[in-house]
Amino acid sequence: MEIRTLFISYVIWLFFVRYLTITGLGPFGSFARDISTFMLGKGLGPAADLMEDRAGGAAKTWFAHGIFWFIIAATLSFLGMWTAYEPNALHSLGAIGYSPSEAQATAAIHVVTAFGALSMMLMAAGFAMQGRLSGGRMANEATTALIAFAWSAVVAAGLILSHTDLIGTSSWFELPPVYYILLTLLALPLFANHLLTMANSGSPVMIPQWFIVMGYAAFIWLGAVSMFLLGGENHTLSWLLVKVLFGGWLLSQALGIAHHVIPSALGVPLWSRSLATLTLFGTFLTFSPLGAVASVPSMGPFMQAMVAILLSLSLVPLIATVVNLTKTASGRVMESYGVKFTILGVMLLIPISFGSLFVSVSAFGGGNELAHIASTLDTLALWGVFGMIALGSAHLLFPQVTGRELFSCAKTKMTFWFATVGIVGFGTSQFIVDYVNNSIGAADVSLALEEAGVSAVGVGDVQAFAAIMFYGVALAGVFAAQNMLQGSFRGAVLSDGAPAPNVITAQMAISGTTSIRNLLSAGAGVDTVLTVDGGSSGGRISLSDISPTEEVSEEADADAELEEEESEQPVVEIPGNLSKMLKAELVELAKAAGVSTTGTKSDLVDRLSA
Amino acid sequence: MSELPEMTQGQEEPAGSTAVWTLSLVGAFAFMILYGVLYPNHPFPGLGDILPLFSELGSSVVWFFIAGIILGLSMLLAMLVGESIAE
Repeated sequence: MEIRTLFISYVIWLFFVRYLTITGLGPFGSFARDISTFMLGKGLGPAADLMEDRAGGAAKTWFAHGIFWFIIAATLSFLGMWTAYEPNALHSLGAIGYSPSEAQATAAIHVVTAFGALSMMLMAAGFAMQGRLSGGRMANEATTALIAFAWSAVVAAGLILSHTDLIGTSSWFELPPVYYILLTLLALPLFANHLLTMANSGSPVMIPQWFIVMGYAAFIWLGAVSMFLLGGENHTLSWLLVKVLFGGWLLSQALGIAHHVIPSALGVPLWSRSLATLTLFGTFLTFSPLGAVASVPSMGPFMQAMVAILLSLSLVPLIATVVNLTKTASGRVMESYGVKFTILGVMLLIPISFGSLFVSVSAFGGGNELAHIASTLDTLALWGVFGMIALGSAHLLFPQVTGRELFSCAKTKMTFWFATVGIVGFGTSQFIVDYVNNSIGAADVSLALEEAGVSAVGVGDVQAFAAIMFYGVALAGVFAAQNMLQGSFRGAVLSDGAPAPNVITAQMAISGTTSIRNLLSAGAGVDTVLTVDGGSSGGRISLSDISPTEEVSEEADADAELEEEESEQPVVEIPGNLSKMLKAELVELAKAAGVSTTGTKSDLVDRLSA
Repeated sequence: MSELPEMTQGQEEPAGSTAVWTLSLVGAFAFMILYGVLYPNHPFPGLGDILPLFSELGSSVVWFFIAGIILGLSMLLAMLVGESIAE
């Protein structure tokens, strides 16, 4: 099947899901809601009673499974890197029947990393986020938690299958296509649960929710279309599947969570709504450069040009994301480790995407001249971008679903530094290995070396260093898991999950209905004035702040002191024509009035007028 | 009548205690070195049984890394069991 037809079917399916989401399951109406509610609940029979239907229960279970697979996946990745340095390192395990080929080991890493660790952690964060944005809980928590066990079982089965002769040659989709159908079948009720949760809440759908829902749509399409692989080897289809796996599924989930975690943790609204919308559409309507290892040996010049354009356009939403989220967190990144992890992951998007773009363009029907760095770029995208955002969500959203803080701040710091140093150290050293090996392995270079009677030493030690650096990521997973586990039992109890805003939006418009939680997340404070324009159903709510930022958080403590100080301060009369005064005069006046004397003339006028 | 506290464990952490456990560690390492000097051909009891185990596995350093992960996972399991029982 042609890539054009497949991509058009993908886009039509996404627009259909968007229509369903906007209309709250629209044409299917209440029947669809009732049948979904039944199927997710009592339809399962006794199995539905296995898990407690408690708010946050689903996300907690998915996080627990996700962090377990995170450790396994990071360990397998480390071993893959180590065996590149020392191929016989694990040969002694052959005595107990474990002696995978390179292709089998790679397939195992792919299935556990993409479908186990990262998918499960990002899905967990999606449930936690969806619950908070839609009235406090998912439509059905118990069944969603139960599916986490089934998903883990399928990932474990994939891990075993990847060590057999059943694996194929399709990159990232090495297992038999029916395996991916199984994952899609498990994702369907989760997708329905998200739709149902949003339909029940009645709140306007926010940008992070769009990312999550559309990501599920992409994942379901992925499983269904992978069946075409049964028809034999198809490079174009494999290429598209990898692009949708990385861009439509993993990237969309990660971006959705990043767009929630940063504003939610800091209590500030997103810097730009238009950039967030651009990111949303751009993510799904372009080909992601991530997943650089996928290649198509030959392709016509027209399709090559079209794909190159769509690949290049994908940088627009990525750059928009980085600018939007860094501006949102501007100057306040250090306040939360959840934000630190997330911002680091988001910022790594730029260099990794640029590198992957060059590789992807040359890999689609071109000479694939940069194939030697493709695998490293994919590993960096998985662990540096998605892995860091997943860890960020675990540090922010896991405490919210358990109701307890993480156990140890020291372990949180260790997790951050081990992961950061691990990713950066691995990336730099592995690129050295890739380039040197590629140069030494080139036909003309090896011929010249042979003629000169020189044998190249290679970069084995640097390869070992890269593997050791990556070991830090596996350790970060262990520390995060310990912190989460102990925190869920013995962490300090969270008082109120609502974020405390200390930068309040000057003006903001929200259409449709909303909840107090959403208003708080958007930056409203206790002194924010709500003005309703228009009718009660179709009107707009605009928020305007009447209180300075710092006063909100410190107001209670400072009230008594302020009253005392006010009674002692001399009364200064502020003239009406402030803008006509000289700056020096304004500074004197500000001193006398006891307000800050810094800033421009207009700042001083504003301050004195206030 | 005043009741005696159930716990008499102190909460203080005097600076001297840090010096004590640092010296203890240094002493333990010194003892191990001394043992190696005095009995060069004798494997260290306990440790001497563990190190050859790694060499049996293929004399690769990777086993130390794998041991670290296994230790981490074991600690996780122990925590899970311990916390569940404590609950």
